Amino acid sequence: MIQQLILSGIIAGSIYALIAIGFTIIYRTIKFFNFAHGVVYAAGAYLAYALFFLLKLNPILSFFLSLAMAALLGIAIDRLAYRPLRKHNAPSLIYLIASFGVFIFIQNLIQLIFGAQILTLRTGPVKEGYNILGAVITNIQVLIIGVSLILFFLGWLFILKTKLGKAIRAVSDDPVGARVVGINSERIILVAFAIGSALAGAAGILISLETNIEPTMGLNAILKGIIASIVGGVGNIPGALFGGLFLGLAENLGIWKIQAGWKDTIAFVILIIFLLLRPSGIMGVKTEKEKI
Amino acid sequence: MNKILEVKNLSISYGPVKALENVSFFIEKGEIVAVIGPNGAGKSTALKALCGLVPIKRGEINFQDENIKGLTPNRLVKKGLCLVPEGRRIFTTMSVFENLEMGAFTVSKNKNLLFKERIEKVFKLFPILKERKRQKAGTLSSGEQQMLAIGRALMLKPSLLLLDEPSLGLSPNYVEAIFEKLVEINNDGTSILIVEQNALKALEICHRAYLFEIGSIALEGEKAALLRNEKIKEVFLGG
Repeated sequence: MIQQLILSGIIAGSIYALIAIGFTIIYRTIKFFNFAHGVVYAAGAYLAYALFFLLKLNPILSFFLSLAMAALLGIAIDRLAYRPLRKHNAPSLIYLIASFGVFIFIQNLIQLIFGAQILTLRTGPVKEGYNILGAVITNIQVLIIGVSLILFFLGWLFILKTKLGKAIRAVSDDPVGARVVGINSERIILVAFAIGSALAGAAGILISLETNIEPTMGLNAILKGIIASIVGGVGNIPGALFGGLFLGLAENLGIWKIQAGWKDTIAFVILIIFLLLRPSGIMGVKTEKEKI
Repeated sequence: MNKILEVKNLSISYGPVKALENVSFFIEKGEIVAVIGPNGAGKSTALKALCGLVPIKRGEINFQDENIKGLTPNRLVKKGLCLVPEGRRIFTTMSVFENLEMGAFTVSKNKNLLFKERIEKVFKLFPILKERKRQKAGTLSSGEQQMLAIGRALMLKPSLLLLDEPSLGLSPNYVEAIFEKLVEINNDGTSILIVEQNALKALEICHRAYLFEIGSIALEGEKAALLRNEKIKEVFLGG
C-alpha cells in the first residue's frame, strides 16, 4: 500500500514540479504570480485532444504541436494582458487581478469550444502494469514521470546554460543592469512566457494521459504549482523540483490513514505552515520587496 | 580635435518638474570629462538621457557625428556608448563570469574570439575578477562589484564610457584603485564621462569638467583652471 502511495506521490510531484518550473521562469522576469499559468496547463490538454482526436494527428506530433501552441498562448497572454499594464507602470495588485481575468476568460473559452463535459486523452483500456518493489506501475505512468522529469531538467539547463536563459536571470536580478548592457527585457519576457507556457502545456497533456480533462482543471494545478514553488522557494528552480515532489508525496502519504478527500487540505496546510514559518521556502533566500 | 559627443540645449522634465534646462556640453575624443555638482543638480539625469534611459524633451545629442536622440539602450550600446550605472547594478545571483558574458549580450555569437579577447582584457585590468570568476557576484565586496560593473561595460568595447557615481559607497582604498583604472582605460583610447559627487577625486583624473547647479551648467573649463577657481575651492575643496 505505502509503495503505491509513494508512486502516486512521485507522479503527482513530477507534474507539480513541471508546473512550478514554468511558473518560476515566468515569475523571474515579471515578478508577480501569474495565475493564468494554470489555464495554459488546461489549454495544453485540450489542444492535444483536438490535434490527436479531432485532427487525427500522430500522438508525438500532437504533443509537440500542442507545446508550441501553448507557448504562443503564453506569448499572447503577455502581449495582450500584461504588457499594456507594464507600459502604464501598473501596481502589482493590478497584475494579479489581470491574471485571474485571463484565467477566467480562457477557461470559459475552452468550455465554449469543447463543452463542459469530461474528456480523456486515454485510448483503449488501462493495461496491467509492472510490479516494482510492491507498487504497480503502468507504461503510461512511467511515461509521465520520465517525460516530466526530462522536460524539467531541460528547462533547468536552459536557464543555467543558454544565453537567453542567462538573460532571463539577468533581467530577474536587475532590470536596470540588463537594460544598460543592451538586453531588451520585453523580448526576454516573451521568451520566458514561451518556455514557461510550453512546460505548463506539457504538464497538462501528461496528466491527461492518466486522468480526465475538464475546463476547470487549471485552478487546482496552478494552486499546487504555487504551493510547490513556495515550499521550494519562489523563483528557485531546484526548489521547484523539491517543492513539487515534497507536495506530491505529502499529499499522497497523508491519505494513507485518512480519506482521500483530504488531499487538498493537506496541500493547503503545508502552504499555511510554510507561509507562517518559512515564507522564503526551503531553498529560497530572503527576498526584498518582491511582489506577490 | 574632434568631438565624440556633443549635447546641445538639452532639456528634460519629470512631469512638471524641470530636471535640466538648456544644457550644452561636449567631450573630445580621448578625454576624461567630469561632471560635478550637488545632489539634484541633474548630473545623473543628463547621463541617463545620453543612454536612452529617460525621455528627452528638447535638445540634440550627437555621438560620433550621428544624432542618437531617442535611440533605445540596446541600439546605443552597439554604437559604443556604454553606461556603468549608479549603484553598480550587477547581476548578484549570477557568477562573475556570467556577468561579463551578459556584458557581451549584444555581441553576436559567432564572434567568440572577440569575446575571449575582451574578457582577457578585462581580467588583465582587474585580476581579482579572474580569481573570483566562478563566485556569485553578490558575494563580492562593493569595490569588487564596482570593478565588475566597469568590466561588464568594457565587454562592449565602448568608445565612450559613462560612469554614474562610481565612488559611491566605496572605501577610500577602492576609490583610489578604481580611479587609477579609469585612467588606464582612458590611456587605452576610451573617452570617459564621469558623474561624481566626490569632486576632488573626479577633478584629479579629468581633463575638463562641468559644474552642474540646479538643472544648468554653472561653470566649465580645464582641470587646472577649475582647481584654481574660488567657487570650486569653496564648495568642494574645503576653502
